[in-house]
Amino acid sequence: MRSFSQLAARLEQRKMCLSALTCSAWALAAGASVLFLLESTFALLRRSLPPLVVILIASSTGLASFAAFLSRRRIPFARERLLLEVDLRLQLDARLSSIHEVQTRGGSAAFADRLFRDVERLSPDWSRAIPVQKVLRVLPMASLLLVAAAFAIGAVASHFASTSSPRSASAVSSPEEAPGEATPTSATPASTQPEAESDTSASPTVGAANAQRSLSEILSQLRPALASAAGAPSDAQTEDAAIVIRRELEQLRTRLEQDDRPLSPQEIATLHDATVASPDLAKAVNDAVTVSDLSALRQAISRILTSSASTPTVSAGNPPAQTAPPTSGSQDVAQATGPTTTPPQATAPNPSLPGASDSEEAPPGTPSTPSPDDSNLTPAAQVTPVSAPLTVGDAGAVSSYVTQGVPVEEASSPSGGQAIWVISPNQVSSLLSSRDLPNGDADIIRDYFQRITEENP
Amino acid sequence: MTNEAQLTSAFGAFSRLESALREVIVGQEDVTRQTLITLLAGGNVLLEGVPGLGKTLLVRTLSHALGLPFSRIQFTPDLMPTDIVGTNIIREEGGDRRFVFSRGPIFANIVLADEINRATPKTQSALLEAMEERTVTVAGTTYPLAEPFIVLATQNPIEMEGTYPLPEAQVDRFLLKVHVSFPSLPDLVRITRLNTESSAIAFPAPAASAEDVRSARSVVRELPVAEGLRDYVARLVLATHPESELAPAMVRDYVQYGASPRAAIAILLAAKAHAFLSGEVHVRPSDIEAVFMPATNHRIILNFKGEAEGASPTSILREVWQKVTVL
Repeated sequence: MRSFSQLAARLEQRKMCLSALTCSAWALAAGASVLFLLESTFALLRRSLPPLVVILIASSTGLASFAAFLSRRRIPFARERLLLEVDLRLQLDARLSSIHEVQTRGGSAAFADRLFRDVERLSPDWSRAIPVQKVLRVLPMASLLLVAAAFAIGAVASHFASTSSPRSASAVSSPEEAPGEATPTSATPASTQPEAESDTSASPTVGAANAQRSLSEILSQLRPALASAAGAPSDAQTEDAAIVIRRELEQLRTRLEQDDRPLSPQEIATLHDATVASPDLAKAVNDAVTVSDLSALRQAISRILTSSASTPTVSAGNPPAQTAPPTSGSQDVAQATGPTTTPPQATAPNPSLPGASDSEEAPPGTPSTPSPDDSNLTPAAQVTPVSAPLTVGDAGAVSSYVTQGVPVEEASSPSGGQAIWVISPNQVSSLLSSRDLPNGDADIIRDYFQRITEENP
Repeated sequence: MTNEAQLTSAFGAFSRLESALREVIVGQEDVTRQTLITLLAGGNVLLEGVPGLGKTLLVRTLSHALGLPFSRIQFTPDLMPTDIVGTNIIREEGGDRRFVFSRGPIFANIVLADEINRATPKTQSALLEAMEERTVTVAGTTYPLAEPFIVLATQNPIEMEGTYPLPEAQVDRFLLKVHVSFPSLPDLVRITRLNTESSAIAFPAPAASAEDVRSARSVVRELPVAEGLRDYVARLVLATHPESELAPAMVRDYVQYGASPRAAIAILLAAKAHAFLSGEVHVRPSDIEAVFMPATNHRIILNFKGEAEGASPTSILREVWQKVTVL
């Protein structure tokens, strides 16, 4: 029976070895999974996993795998069960386990001898006795795949991060940190849309082609283009944006004439976004929305369209000049619809221009005169101050002017001369808060004012 | 401890015995094999089948082949226990009168209890007690039964009127319950030829002795059973209990009481005997399979739902067999 003992020992060794390898493979797979998950998580965060972490995971996985192998290798198997498994696999009819039973329980040697002779006579294929489990073949492959996938994801993520880092930086930085960046796009949800889509949306033919689509959809697509037109204006883009805005406003007016449904919040927000490139349109739209009367809203849109029909361009950097509407010349808030050819006496100095705060203070209601160094001051940036019974901050009674959507306040002139008008941050804030704008839109408007202020301190 | 010579002798004796039985008993190989299994395992067998299927012939042939005395008890409602075990009678010898024990038919090596379910429970109980204890006690005196001893009881599954079905506890004492099926067409033709052409049935000459039976029983008891197979048998028996985790749906639905521990013992002993009769010196899974049904099907008690829906212990045990695996 020495040979049976040797046979059983060999079978046991093989089983223990394979089992240890299986444990080790599981540990490897677990480590690979951890690496894959970490890489995936970091890739989602647009970051790459630090190499030190990769090394740590790899080394700890290797150690864990080795430890699993060693520890499982030391745990013996129940030999009778192992032999019965082999019996069943090799169709030995429980001969091996019966021999083991005879040996361990002290049975008759005649039985054991006869049984072992039978086993030898059957000459089974011992290589099939304890086959390599499928899991042992699959796990290393899966681990390799996971590791490869993890490194691929890491490489893609690092590439992606390197290519998009300037954009990301502009997306996360505030206007104060990056005054020259086109930050308005980053503040809107539409900034996550692909650039190709925004390029397509910026085309002037899109509005006509998509006439049957809802205004919200069209404006949502236009938002990045309009915002980019406001942030990085070029003449062609600005002109395109103005045309598209006009078309969309016409569609909106048509919709309001046919349908009494009030503007949805999304439409309002989108409308604000669409008009951000043109402060005068923004002002008019704000007023129309505030009225919350559909007929008034239609009229407001009509006025906007009427006035904008004579405006060739709408530019954030070069907004059209404002004139008081014929029917409301004495209103506190001027209607922001004026041609760019407004006479000089109907304009005020651009409050955001350099040196505007140093100019002479002018009495309320008096047209301002450009300061000597306002060489780049354009008529579109000038406003017509109208006194308003409004008190803001410590400045005391001031006149509030909202021209082209720009809230200004009268600033004291060091020379005591003509009054100058500057952008009022407080009024900007109060105006934005009173409009109950969506955050993205408010940010865009605030950024617009901020840019004006920074460019024309 | 069994040696090679004993092993060879026992194999030879039972090989001859089985051949002798098959010369007379046409067909019914399973019945013959299970009767021999019962003989080797030292148990008793309950043969269930309609009359005329050769049950009595089987017992008589076995008796002749072993050269052992045989008795037949026809169970009737008026059969008394003393008619089975015997009684004390007064006998005069030389002017003296004394009680002498007159042995009943139970004192044979091979007893055929024909239509056991026709006797009253009291009489059945006397027989079954003798089967279990292998002794008979009359008037305070205990008499051992002959060795080897085997009872082959028969019952008719169709004619149930005027019968006293055996209580479950009594049925449990039979090692196997063997269903005697109707012979096949070729077997039936052969039976008619054997019984119509010759004047009488030629019973075989003794092929084995009582000593051979005792020796073979000893060998069978020593046959090794792998621990995993013992575990398998235990799980099979546990799976017949509705409250067991191993029980399949049919057991949970239709079984009131599962097989007793006697069932596990019976399965293993019968499996050993089956392996021996197959010329093997160890128990194989196929041996367990061969004896699982006859060793268990009379130990399952159906509940009302099972009875109402016509569930059979055989179908339930088939599901148990399919669900419980060796490993």
